[in-house]
This record gives sequence, C-alpha cells and structure tokens, in this order.
Amino acid sequence: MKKILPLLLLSVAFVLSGCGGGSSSSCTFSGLTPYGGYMIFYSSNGTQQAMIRYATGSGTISAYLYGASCSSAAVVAIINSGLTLTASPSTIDLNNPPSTVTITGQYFDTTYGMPRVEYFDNGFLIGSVLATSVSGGGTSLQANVPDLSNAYSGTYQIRVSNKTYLGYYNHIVGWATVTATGRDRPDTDGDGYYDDQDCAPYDPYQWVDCGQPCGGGYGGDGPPTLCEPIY
Amino acid sequence: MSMINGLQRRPSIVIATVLSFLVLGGIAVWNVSRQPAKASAQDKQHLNKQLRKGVGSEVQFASMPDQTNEAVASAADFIYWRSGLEMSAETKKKLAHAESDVLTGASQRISVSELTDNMTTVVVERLATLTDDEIRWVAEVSSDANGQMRSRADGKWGVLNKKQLMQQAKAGREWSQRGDFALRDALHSMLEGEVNDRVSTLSAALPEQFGQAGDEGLTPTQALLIAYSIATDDQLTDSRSDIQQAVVQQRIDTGETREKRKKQKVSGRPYGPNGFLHPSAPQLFFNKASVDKLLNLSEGGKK
Repeated sequence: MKKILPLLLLSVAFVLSGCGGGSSSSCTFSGLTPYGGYMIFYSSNGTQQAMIRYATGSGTISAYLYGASCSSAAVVAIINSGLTLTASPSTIDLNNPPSTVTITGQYFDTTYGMPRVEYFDNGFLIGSVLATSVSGGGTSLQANVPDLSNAYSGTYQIRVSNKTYLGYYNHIVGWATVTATGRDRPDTDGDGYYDDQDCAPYDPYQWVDCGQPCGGGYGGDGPPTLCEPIY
Repeated sequence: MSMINGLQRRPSIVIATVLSFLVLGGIAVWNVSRQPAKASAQDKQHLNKQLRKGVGSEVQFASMPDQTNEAVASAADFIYWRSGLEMSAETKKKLAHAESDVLTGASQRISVSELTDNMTTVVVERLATLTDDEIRWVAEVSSDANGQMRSRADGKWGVLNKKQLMQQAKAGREWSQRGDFALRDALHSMLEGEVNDRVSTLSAALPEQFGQAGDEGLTPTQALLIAYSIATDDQLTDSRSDIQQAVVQQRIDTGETREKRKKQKVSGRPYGPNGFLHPSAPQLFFNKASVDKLLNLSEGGKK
C-alpha cells in the first residue's frame, strides 16, 4: 500500500483535475535553466495573462493555468539587465502631475516596439504606458505619465522593459524610483491600517483574519483578541 | 485508464484523498523530499537554507527545562503569525510542562510512528463529527478567488470546486462514522509519508534541533510544528521579512492592482483561512481535544 501511494495520489489528482478545473491545467515545464526567471504567457477566457516564475535547481517550473491548457502557454526566459535607472522629475505631485517623465539609463531598444514603462506602489501595479520616444543610443526615453488619479503618496518603483524578437516584453532593463506626494492613503475605518492593507476596511475592529474569528484558537475558547497584520 | 478503474474499485483511497484536502490542506506536499531523484542537491540546499531562516530562526527550541516557556511561546507566535491559528494560555502551559518533562527525562519523546498514529486517530475522529456548517466553512476559506481548492500551492495534486468538495466530504464523513478500516489505512499511509518527509527534511536542515528525531523521537513542540505544517501546507520556510518581500514581489510578478486586491478574499496571512500563499482550515483539525490527543497532553506528557 505504502509503495503505491504516490502513484495513486497522482492518478487521483488526474481524476479530480478533470472534474474540478474545467479547462484549467496544472502544468510542469522542464528543460529550463536552473533558477532562471521565466514569463509564462497564456490566454484565459480571451484575456491575455502573464506570470513570472523561477525554475528550480532541476530546471522545472510548476504552474497552475486557469482556463488554459499547458500546450497553449508560452514560456519565455527573462533577460534581466538589472540597471538602476534615473527618473526625471524624481518627485510627482499627484494633484498636479507632469505630463511626461524622462528616464535615463542604457539599453532602451525600439527594434521590436517601444519600451514599456510600469509604475508600482508597494508591489501594486498602478499604471503602465509605452515610451513615446527613445534617444539615440538608447540611453534615455520619454513616456507619458499614466493615469495616477487613483494612486496615493509613496515611493513608486518604475520598471522599464524592452520588447524582444519573441514579441514579449521579457527584457527587463531596470528600475527607477519616484516619490509621489499630495494624496495620502485612506484609512476609512480609522483602525490604523490603510484600506488596501485592511481586509475589512470599513470595520474598525478587524484588519486581518477576515473570514475567521480572530482569537479563540485551539486549546481553549479564549476571548477574541486583536490580530496583527503582517504587512 | 485501468488505473482509474482500479481507483474506482478502491473508493477508500479517493475518499481519503478528498478528506485530506478538507482537514489537512497540506497532504502530499514537500515534493522535494518525496521525489529525491527529481530534486537536485541545490534544491535541497536551498530548502535547508529557507528552513533555517524560517522555523530555525524564529522558533527558539528549548535545550534546558527552564527554556520551555520561551520555546512554546515562540512556536505559538510562529504559527499564529503565519496562519492566524492561536494557542490558548492553557495549552501553552500544558505544552511547556510536557516539553519540560521530556527534557528532564520524566517522560518520553513522541516517536515518529506515534505521531503518525495520533494524527490518524485525530483525523478519523474529527472527520466523523464534521458538521455541514464546518464543511461549508472549510470550502469557503480554503478556496481561491476562482472558487477552486488546490491540494497544493501549485495545484499539482489536483483541484476541486466547492460543490465537489462538499459532496465528497459528506460521503466521506459517513465512511468515517462507520469506522471504515480501509479509509483509516489509507489515511495512515498518507500521513506516515508526510510525517517522515518532514522529519527527514528538518533533520537535514536543523540537525541540532531535529537530528535525533528519527531515532529518539520528537518533543511535543516539535511534534506540534510538524502537525501544523501538514495541516496548512506551510513548509515552515522563510522569515517574516522574507515572506513580506515575497508578497510584494508576487504582486509585481502577477501585475496585481489595488482594485483587483479589494475584490479578493484574503486574510492578510500567508497560510490558514483565506491565506494568500495557500489557504486552508487548520482550525478544523486543531481543537482542544485533538491537540491534547496529538501530543499526549491529557496525560501530562507522561507515557
């Protein structure tokens, strides 16, 4: 029994996948560069999806694709130049943002399309635009500032990626930072945690562990206690 | 196809697997140690390093009886921060006492096979008493934004939707109530593999704490951590700051926006109900009676 259990588990997984996941797929991609970074592109219900995964030391990546088959996915190696770029202006007033930003560095390339410029705040994607121009030699680019009307004050990370011959933005040139000011993040319920950190933004008594009573855990029926968020 | 037919003749295996999704979200995890041929030495080194940064750094294991309160407190805090699973003051006290008894030699360690037996007993008994409300709650907090429940974080071992899970769970509950031996055997075999995998991996990564676990057994706190790991699919790896950085990186990698985040039901913790790394419902498994039985606490740690 013990010896055949892994085999049985595998077969059960197959049965369950067939009935539970619709056309979703659990995929394993092999033959990749150990620990290399890859982008996985696939189409789910007509929407293009992309995810980044890193190969194991054995050169494999496991990924679950919603609404797509494994064979429909494109797995593309990331080229990461890892440059530290400079953005100008380096400060953005969210109430009066500049129309364009200039980013300087190296390797900006228009051969297969304009470079893509993405803005992140604490990891959240807040805007993405294509450069409008790239200087000769690929040392600077200009891009319109994306719509930041729903963004908040903070330090943003700006990622610049080139489009490659594969047709994907899989060449990450590097990162710049800008400081945004003028619009503080809201804490609607006043519990000390911003709405985007708060799983119950309208409940001043809960900000983490939504969906379960906070406190009163195993080993007893203690009174509910306040819980700390982890971020 | 013959294998599937074979499984249909052995429904206990299927039911056991489905029920393991329900009560033990992490069954069949730690594929690295289960399939050594596929795991490179580098993978194992990486896993060992992550374990040392996680449970190895954040849990202060006791080597002397006067350190047991601190050890239990750090283990409880480790589990709570990662899953929201909170340990009561009473259980902390009993666990520290049992830990102290083991360190002074007043009681024996919990052997790996004993832990497996205890976990099997607890799971079978817990399954038999599951209410419909509990099954519904598990299906709700263990499913992702697409309403699907994955048996592993990468979905490798299969997926169920909520309706399928509830149907299978109710059927399985009847098996458990009948005291079906085939179900118990299947669960025991699965748990045996899981416990052995964890003991083996932790022994390699943290030899000072777990090096003797295979031969001499586990302290109650170590046994609790292993049971928690199996119940939540938490590999016990990575520090808090590592996980926080991973969350930000995950947002970047997936292009997550704040608007998308607001629509998701996430708890703010990596594991446990609505956990963002792997959702599960360990509260179902870890109640007072089961923890007492699992760690022999009702006997004051004595054997």
